[in-house]
Amino acid sequence: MAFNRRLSFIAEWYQEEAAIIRTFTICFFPTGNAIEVYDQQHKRTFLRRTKMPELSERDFFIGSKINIFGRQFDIVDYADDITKNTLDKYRKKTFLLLKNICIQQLGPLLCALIDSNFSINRALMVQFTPEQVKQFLSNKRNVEASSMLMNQLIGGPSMGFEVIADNAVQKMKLCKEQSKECSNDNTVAALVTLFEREETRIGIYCPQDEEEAEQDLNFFFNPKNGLQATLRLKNSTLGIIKPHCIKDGNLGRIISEITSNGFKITGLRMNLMERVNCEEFFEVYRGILPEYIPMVAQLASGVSLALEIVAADENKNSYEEFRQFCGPMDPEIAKMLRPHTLRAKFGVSKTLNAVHCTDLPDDTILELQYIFKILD
Amino acid sequence: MEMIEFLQHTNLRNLKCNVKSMVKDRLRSIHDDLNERRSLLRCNLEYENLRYSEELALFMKNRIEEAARKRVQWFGIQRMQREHNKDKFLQLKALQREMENCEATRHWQSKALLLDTKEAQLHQIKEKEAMRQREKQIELIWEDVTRRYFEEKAKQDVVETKLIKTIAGINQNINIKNYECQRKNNKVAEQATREQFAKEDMFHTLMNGSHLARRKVAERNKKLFQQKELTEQITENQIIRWKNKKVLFDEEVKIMENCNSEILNNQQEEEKRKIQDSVWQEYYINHVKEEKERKREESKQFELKFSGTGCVLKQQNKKPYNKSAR
Repeated sequence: MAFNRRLSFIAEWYQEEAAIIRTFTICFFPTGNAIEVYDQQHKRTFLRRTKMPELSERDFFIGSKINIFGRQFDIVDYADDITKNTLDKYRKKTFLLLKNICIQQLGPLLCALIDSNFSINRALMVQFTPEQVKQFLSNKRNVEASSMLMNQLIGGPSMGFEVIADNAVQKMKLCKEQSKECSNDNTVAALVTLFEREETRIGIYCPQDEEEAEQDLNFFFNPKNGLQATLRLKNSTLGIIKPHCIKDGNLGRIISEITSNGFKITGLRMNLMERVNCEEFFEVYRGILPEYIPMVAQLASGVSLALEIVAADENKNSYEEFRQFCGPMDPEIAKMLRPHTLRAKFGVSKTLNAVHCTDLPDDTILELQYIFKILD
Repeated sequence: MEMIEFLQHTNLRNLKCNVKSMVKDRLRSIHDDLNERRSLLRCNLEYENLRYSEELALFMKNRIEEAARKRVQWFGIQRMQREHNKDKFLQLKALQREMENCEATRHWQSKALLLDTKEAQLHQIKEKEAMRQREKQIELIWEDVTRRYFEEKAKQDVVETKLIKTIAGINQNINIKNYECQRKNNKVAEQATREQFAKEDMFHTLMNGSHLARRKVAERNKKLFQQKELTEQITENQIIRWKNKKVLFDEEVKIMENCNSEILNNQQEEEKRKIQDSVWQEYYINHVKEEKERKREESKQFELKFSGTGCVLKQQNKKPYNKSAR
């Protein structure tokens, strides 16, 4: 029975050539990480059962984007009741807001979330305007807390995260309240430890119920609400944490490494890049690097985290410093020559080298604008 | 030349062509820019690769040199250690030899050896002595135990004989008493039986006369009754025998009758069959005769019909002509 367990979803794929949205049924078989795609319109199998080790059960939820051989499928619904009953009951989304006062805790927060089996799906660093804050707080019940939150949000940029886990809202709430139920649960021990400090409890906001979480997520990640990613574009550089690192759960550790080695994060955006965009983004590497195609495939294979990085010391060149901190492109060389660099620590091969950083000094603004503005 | 200038001029005048050319120019500039970036990136990466390869080469060289140096150093240290050990060993050996060669040392050694031997012998003697003493002690204990055992046994025997005697004396008195008691009882019983016998004799002599007369009458009656029964039985038997004879005779008569009727029937049937057979036979003979006659008639007519025509009417069967046939 367990062997034949499958999860079915209804997914949409935008066919660019025809400019139409086509609907498919995607079946995921957790045993063996296999996938099958069925074309609903033509009533035939589009992709027969194929193993895809890079996908896992955690990647499938409503709203997620799955990359199958370069095609991006948006999961819009459950295809059968069994999947609905098994997943919808437990896998819940919630919203997390890291306020400006606690922005140094980004690395530990991500580490704790990953250790507590939370998947991070989307992230954005924004600067609220008073109007936006008002709009954001309009549905909050706790008025006192809301006014305090308003001041904190206007004070500086904040980071919002969409996280997914089993009973995510409830778990997060209990961890923050340091309740006894959570202290006995080993799976969320890291989060409980994180919330032991009062400044972390104040610095992180999370919704109280699922309805509120849904509203917050809609507000924060809907571009129509006018929330835009913060971007300095001055002595800054771009760093992208690649999907393989996020899947391996190294996201928190990489962020911690970056922040603890004299860099500041002034912009953050986590999303799934389409293959076309990845190709466009890496256009300058076409014909230069033999690993161009695998590089594109890797970046399009899952969610990636783009960061605008600035050296803490204003006199230093951020581009130069961060590039040195990332190390040589080949992690094998990095391990030999620069063992303290990011690629030496988290890289696997030339393609899976953990981090992308801008290689040309003049391209920093171009790449930052492409990721943070053009893709928006 | 003028023509080209004219065409360019006209192209710029046309709005559509103007936009097209502007887009074209822009695309070209973007492409140029991209190419420039690419060349820059290539240079950058190539330079970086070169730098890293140089660094790597240096690193490897340093590593190899370091390893070689360490190996040489290790060899030197090992050689030094070995030499040091050898010197130490030689020194010790020399000392040993010296000590072995020294008279006083040897004397002292032999003395020490002798002392050790003596001490060991002494220890052995002491050990043996202790063993012997212990054996003696054990023997003494055993002797004491056996003596005590025999003494106890003798005492027990005396007591037992005494006890047996006393028990025997008590029993003698009891037996005598019992015997006397029994004799008395026997005498009483004998007297009682004798008296009873006397009484019974008396009773028998009185009863004897009347009893004999009654008994004779009863015997005579019994004889008469038996005789009567016997005569009755004889008559009954005679009647039964007569009845049986009659039945047997009837049965015989019946069987005879049956046999006779059967024989009669058989004879009649035989007669009938004989008559029937003779009729059928006669009928059959006649039929055969008629048949033969008819056939002869037919062949006669057939021959008559074909006589003188020269036709071979009948082919005669081949006859065997071998020896047995002849």
